[in-house]
Amino acid sequence: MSNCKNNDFEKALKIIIKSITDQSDISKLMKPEFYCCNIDDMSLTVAFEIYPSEINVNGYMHGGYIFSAFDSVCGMVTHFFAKEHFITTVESSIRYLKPVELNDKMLVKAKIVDINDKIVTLTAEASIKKGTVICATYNSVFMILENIKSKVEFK
Amino acid sequence: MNENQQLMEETIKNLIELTKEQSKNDGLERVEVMMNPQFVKCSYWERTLTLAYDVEKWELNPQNVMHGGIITTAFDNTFGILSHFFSGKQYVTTVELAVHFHKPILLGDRIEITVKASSIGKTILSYTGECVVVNRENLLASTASTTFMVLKYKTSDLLTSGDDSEK
Repeated sequence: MSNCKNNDFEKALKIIIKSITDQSDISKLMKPEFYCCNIDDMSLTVAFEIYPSEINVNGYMHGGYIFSAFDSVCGMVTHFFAKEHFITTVESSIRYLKPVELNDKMLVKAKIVDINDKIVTLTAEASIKKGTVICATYNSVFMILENIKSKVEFK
Repeated sequence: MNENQQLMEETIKNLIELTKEQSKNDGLERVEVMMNPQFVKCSYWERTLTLAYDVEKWELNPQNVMHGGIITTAFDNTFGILSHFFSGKQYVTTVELAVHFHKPILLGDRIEITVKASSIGKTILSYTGECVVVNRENLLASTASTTFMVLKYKTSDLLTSGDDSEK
C-alpha cells in the first residue's frame, strides 16, 4: 500500500495523534501517547495511562473508554492511509478479557489487515503489565469517504 | 401499574441516582455521570430499557460527530443498568460488545438507546440494542449486541432495591 520508510510513518502518525488530541475533548481526556509503529504490518501502538475519571462504579476502567481507546488508535492508523480523506467507523466489536485498573498503563496495538480504496479492516489488542497480559481484543471496519475532506492533519 | 413493572422502574431510577451519588462521594466525574443518562421507559415483560442522552461538545471526535467510543459507552451503560436489575446484588461485567454505526450523530442531538434482553441466564445475559436520534424523526443511528456475565462470587457496590427472588 505504501512504500514509505518507518521513520516517515512514525513522523506522520505522531502528527495525526497530536491533531486528533488537539481537536477532540475525549482524546484530551485520555491523553494517547505514541509508543511504536511498524510500516511492514501497518501497525500502530499507543499507550494510555488510566485516570480516576475512567474508572467505573466497580473500580475498573469503563468498557466504553477501552472501546474509545481502540476506536481512536484504529482511526489514527487509518488516517495515515486515507490521507486527506474523511474516515468513519462502520462496525466494531470488542471482547473484554481482563479488567484494567487505575494506574495501569494500557498499550493498544491496531493493525490493518486489509485495505482498499474505500474499506479498511483492522484487528487490535490491548495489553497491560508491559504488554504481557492481553486485556481486550477488537475488530473494526472503517470506510474512507473520498468526497469529504478530513480535518485531521497528517503531514 | 403492575408490581413487577413498578419495581423495575424504581430499581433502574435508583441505579442511575446511585451511580451519580457514588461518583460524587468519590469526588470523581465518571463517564456514566458526565453523559447524564435520563430514564425514558422500561418494560418488565418485554425486558427492555430506554435511556436518553443529550449530545455534548466533549463527546465529539475531530470530524465533529459523536465519537464511536462514546456511542458505545452509552450502549454499555444502558446494557449495564438493565443487567444490574436482572442480577440483583451480584457483580456484572461486559464480556463482548459489537456496534454497527449507521449514521453520524451530531452536537445537540438527543439520542435514545433502547436495549432488549434476548436471553437471561444465571450466568450469561445477552442483549441487543438500538440508538435513535429523537430530534431527527427517530433516525436509526447505531445498533449493538452484547454479552454480559454475572459473577456469583462477587457482589456489586451498586445496591438494588426489591426482592431478587421475584426476577
